[in-house]
Amino acid sequence: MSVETAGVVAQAEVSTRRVLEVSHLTVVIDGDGWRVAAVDDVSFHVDRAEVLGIVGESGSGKSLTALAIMRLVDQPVRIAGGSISFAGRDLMPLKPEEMRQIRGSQISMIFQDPMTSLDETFTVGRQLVELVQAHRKVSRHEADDLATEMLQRVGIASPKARMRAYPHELSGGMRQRVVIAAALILRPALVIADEITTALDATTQAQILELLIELRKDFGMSVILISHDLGVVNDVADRIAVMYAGHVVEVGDRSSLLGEPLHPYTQGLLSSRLSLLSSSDYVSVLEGQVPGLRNRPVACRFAPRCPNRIARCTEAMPQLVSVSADRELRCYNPTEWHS
Amino acid sequence: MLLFVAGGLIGVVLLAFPSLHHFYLDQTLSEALKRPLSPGHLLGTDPLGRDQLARSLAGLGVSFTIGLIVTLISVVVGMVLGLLAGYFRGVADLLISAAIDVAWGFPIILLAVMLAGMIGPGFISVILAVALLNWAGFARIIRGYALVLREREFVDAARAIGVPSLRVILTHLLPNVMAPTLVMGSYYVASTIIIEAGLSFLGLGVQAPTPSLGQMLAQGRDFLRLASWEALIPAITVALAVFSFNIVGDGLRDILDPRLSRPQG
Amino acid sequence: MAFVSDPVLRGEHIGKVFPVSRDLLGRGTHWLSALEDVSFTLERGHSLGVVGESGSGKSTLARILVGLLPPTSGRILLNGRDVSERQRSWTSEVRRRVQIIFQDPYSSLDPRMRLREIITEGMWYSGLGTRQKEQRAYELLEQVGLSSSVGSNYPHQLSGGQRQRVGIARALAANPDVLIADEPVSALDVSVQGQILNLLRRLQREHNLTLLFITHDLAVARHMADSIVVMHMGKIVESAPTEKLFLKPLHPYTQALLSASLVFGRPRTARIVLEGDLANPVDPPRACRFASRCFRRIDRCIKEDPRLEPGASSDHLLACFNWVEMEKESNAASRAG
Repeated sequence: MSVETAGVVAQAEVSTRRVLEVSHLTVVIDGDGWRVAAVDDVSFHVDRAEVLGIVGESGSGKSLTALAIMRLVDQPVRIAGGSISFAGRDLMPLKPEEMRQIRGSQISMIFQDPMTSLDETFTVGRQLVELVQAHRKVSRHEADDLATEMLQRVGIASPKARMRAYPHELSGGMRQRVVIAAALILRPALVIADEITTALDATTQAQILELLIELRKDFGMSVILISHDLGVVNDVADRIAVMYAGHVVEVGDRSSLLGEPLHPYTQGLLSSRLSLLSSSDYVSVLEGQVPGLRNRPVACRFAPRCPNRIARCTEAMPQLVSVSADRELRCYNPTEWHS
Repeated sequence: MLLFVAGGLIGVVLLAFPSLHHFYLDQTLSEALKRPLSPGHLLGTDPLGRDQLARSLAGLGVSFTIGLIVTLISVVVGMVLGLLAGYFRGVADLLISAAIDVAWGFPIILLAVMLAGMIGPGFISVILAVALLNWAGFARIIRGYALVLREREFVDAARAIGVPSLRVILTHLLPNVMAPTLVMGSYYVASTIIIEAGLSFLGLGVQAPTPSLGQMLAQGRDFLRLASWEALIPAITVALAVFSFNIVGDGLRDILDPRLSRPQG
Repeated sequence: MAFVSDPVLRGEHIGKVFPVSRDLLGRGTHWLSALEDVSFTLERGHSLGVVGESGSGKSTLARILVGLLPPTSGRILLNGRDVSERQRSWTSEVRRRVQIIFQDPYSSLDPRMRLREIITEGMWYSGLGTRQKEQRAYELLEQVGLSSSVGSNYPHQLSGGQRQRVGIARALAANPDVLIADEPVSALDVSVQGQILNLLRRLQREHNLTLLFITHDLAVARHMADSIVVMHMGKIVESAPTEKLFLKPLHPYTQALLSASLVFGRPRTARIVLEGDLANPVDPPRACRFASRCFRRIDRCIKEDPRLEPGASSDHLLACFNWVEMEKESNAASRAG
């Protein structure tokens, strides 16, 4: 009988259907005489056992959003507005100690670089055990068993031996598996995975994504999967939110969003990716580049690069509105996409 | 802001130094050991009746001059050797690092005494003693920078283009170490001032009648009970001197640092 | 295909090892095999794609070809002339003929130099006067899609994509015979990658450049390369003209790599996911280095090291004892793309 079935660590109970509700979240960076909203009026939600993919490039604010949810932001970055509600409970007024209890056990985060996410001076086993004991009253022995079992679950061969290994003795792919094990060992209701495959090779990436899909089936947690790679998100997500320059520009169900994208940015990303996969000579591109934090256009932030730009786009900021039952869009002039 | 104030004060002292010459040399024994704030002598007088204010300023001038000259020598020598060692590695690095280790560990007082014995104590021997050893710390730090910089891709790019090594060092490494060099240089002047004060306290520095803060401190030691200000004034002056160069260093660092590590917009 | 073979760059059995530990006398005791028996031919005006993941040796190869690192064994022939003497003795004349575009636009430009100075440095051998060099620098900036007025700017004032354009301009400034691009778009945003690839394609066409394009992304290689060489743990495992490789990948590693890259349009169940651990690159034994993860492994694979030999056709080479054409699979992929 595994330690888990003995009820030592139960699946975090989430009674509400909506696991996470982010509403008009704004995160600002206070500079020397300037201030920028790196995450600007961002709203989205994640339901139970659902995978939300957040797609965006550098400067989109996707990583800061994740850090804000975890309340891991520090000067000069701060949350300036909006609300974050986890299982019906507002996270904003929580004290640091209360937030600490939630982190790791109810909401956990997996970061991009497995090379720096683990402490090099402690063995893998020690780090997992410490994590468990920080949140649950279990004996050292029980925690050890839990950790070993978790390592097995994430596909690490000879887990007992690996418990005594130091991070630098493991390959990138294995380290990422350890990090995933740490993120799931306390059965959180929500896991935030920030670019977890970016630092890995294509073949290892495929392995980690397979693993994530499998674990999700077994554990049933909700996942926010953040990536710049549409392909990664296409694999795993149920719904997708596209972010650009601090805004959410489109949200929708995965297959309909990727099959019929409405926002010109989403269309551009898809065209780019698909034409890369074809044998055509030139790649379809988005002109221009992502605006820097401090020189964002006044109205629609994508307007300078947008093939659908009309006068209105440079005059007033489009709002994120529902255009159908399962699609939200921030655009004045969407047109049909021809792949 | 403070940087400019400090810088300004230092400049004033350096300029004023030569012309104070009369004031600090004038011995009036009848006026000996006057307290500070006595008429005509803002900081009092020394045991030989010489005006302390003038002497302090002159002493400051000496400290600053020695500090700047020594630091200049240390910086130039340290930078050249540090860059060569860090960039070329191999034999050059082994030799230069060995030299750094020797200089770093060599007792300065011993060297000062030896030099004083050979060429007589004074301005030159102090400068030589400190400069011969001071460059080592600098070289070590610059060597560290060179080691890091040589791995940067833009150095690879230059080598791939075919730029010869010496030119690579001049055009790529040198500009990239200038900023930390300036900052460190200021701190080095401060520490040199302390070393000089220590040496002249021991009598190995500039000789009387040229005033030096360390020597004034030594003199004041004899009068600690009777006239404590004789020792206090030079002590505070040294502290102020060190402080002002530290401020200059801090100021430079604040100006230069943001440019060094500008965040990607 | 050129009727007259005019190989600009040839690698012959290039090998590179690094010592990972030394004995008391400083001699190496264990060796990391970064490259082994790498041979290739790059024809004038042609574009060769070198595809591999981390640890494949592709970056080491790039540095060797540009003279930044000496090979431990093998030869490099530039325009027919053996240039593989110790790297330090590469004359500037030789060096300027092979230029490189680096992966990281943030560290490949000297932050203290103005952009036009960075580009004119590429011409330092040329004997041109300052005025002329600057003029050429402005022309190059325009050619790579930037306005000549950015010449007086510093790198930190530009975005990643723009910096990479400057890197390309610098490489072209030296008027090289061969351009080596080491993962030039990997560090850029997705929406900018296409721009840089298109630029390189256009420049290659306009100037009949000879290009060696290194990437981990097969899809990118498909766009840029006329023929592709797939590397794994320091060895070439497959080599073929681009379309042949995509239509008929023969080596199991290539098949897995292709499978991992072409995510859209491919049902997940048809995905090849490798199992097992990477082999140890230190003191490797005589065996296939992919065997530990290979889904087509047979006994012979752990006893012998397969040689690179013609497979399905004379221009399609691979190093495998147990290859099989996965016809159906790969045709499905090309239809979906």
